[in-house]
Amino acid sequence: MNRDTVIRARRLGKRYYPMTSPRTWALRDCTFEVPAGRVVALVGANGAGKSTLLGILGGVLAASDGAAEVTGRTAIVTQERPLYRHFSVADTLRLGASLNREWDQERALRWLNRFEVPLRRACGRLSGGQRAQVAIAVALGSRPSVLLLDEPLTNLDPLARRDAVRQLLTDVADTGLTVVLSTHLVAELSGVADHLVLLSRGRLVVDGDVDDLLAAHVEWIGPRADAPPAPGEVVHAQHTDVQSTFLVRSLADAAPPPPGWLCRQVPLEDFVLAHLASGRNAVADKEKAA
Amino acid sequence: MSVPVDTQRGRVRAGAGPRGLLWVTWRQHRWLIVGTTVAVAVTTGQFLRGISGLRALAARMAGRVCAGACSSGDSWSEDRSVLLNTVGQLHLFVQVFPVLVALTWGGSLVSREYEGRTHVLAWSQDVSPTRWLLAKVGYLGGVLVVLGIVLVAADDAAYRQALAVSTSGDDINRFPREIFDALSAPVFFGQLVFGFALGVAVGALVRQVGLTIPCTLFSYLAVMLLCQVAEQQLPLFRSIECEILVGVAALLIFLAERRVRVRRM
Repeated sequence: MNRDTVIRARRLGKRYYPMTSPRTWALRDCTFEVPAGRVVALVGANGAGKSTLLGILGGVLAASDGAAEVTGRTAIVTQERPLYRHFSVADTLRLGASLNREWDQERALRWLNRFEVPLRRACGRLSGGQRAQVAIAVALGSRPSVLLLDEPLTNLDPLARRDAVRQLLTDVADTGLTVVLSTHLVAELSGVADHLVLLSRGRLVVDGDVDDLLAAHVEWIGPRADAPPAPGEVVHAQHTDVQSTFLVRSLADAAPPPPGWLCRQVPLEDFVLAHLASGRNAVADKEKAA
Repeated sequence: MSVPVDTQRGRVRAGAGPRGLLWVTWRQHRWLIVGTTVAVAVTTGQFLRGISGLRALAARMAGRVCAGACSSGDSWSEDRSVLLNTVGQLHLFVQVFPVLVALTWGGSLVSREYEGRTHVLAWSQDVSPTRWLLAKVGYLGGVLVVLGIVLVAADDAAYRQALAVSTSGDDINRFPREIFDALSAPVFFGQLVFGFALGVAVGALVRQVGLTIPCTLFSYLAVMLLCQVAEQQLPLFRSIECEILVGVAALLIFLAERRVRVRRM
């Protein structure tokens, strides 16, 4: 593993029911690396294998195939954000202190105070958003170098979501923390994630630095056509009766667009959605062929 | 229990050790521990009252031993009957204590974690599922052994006092069986340890509290029935029954550990 690489997955696979058919692979043949100090968006449709991948990286699931290496301490906040209902928030922090070799109480308290989570209240009486904040506070208190968050922002209101993301970005800048964020909120990734891992039906569709990925793609919009007006690999094509849109992977500088065509840099949200659609079709074709 | 805090850096560095796990065990199971301790204390208190009554009765009966069953007109006959009944009912509690432990202490230990998904929180920290399980089994098992010693001691003392006022074999037969003889205490502890381990193992397997309790009860009764048959068929069985039950308990904890190590999510 390179010095700056904190996560490396090699041909990673997870099969939940090994005795049944091979179709039960939740994750398969997944190879990627993540440099330190990044905010990684782990994106995919429902059942794409995001939670499984995070579980393996977090050490709570064993891989069926391949290997994953994570450098340093890891903390995971799973989708359910499980907490002991009868524990107060303060007790939950003490649980974190009791079960971890390293614990930063001040950091955990700072997070909870920022979001005004009452320390004396039982976790079972907190709102969904507050429970999410407690789970994140416990994860941060364990002083991880890699923080794995599975849909952490779903229950938060927009303001709390924005504040939470800002604070996480501050932690990344201050401590070199690497955050892997599984999310459905594709629209909110822009300006947050600087690394992308995109899964479709358990397979890795695309991964890499967000800026590099976006720079290597262009979107052509023009009259209905079977192919884009410039060379490149078509990732996704969309047609109406009068218009065609192509997402094209192209290393060459885009030529001036022919009359009637518009060539533009693709926004992150469109890039992700196009790759998700393309990945779904490609995996379906592969499964049909198999 | 306090955790040392480095106030300058605001950091606590004391977790993941035996003290941390002790606090977690106490915080999670304190009501079960307190409730069981109170039940044992009340039972022991009642035993002591019974023993005191039996002792006073023995003094009244001194020198007036009946050859067979004493006639119902004897002045102490009714008192003796009431006292022996009371002690007999307390003895029944001692007999069912291991199965109650199997259902409440053992049955909820792992299955409740799985059911509430809190195992993901507990086992994704620096403490491995193996250490978490073994620490809890160790601490809770220790408490159970202490409570068991108290119960057996009170039960045994009551039996000895009951013997002193007994004038007929019928009275002694109120106390069903072997727990009162020399082998009773080891067998009781064997049942206690086995019941606890059985609840833990079944909970780790079925992962739902509602299903764990009947499965544990059925398995426990089946094993006890087998033990009774073995006692009748094999004269030496009773002398090694405790060792066999403790051995099976160790095997069950081993299997539970394998299970929690694999099913962490």
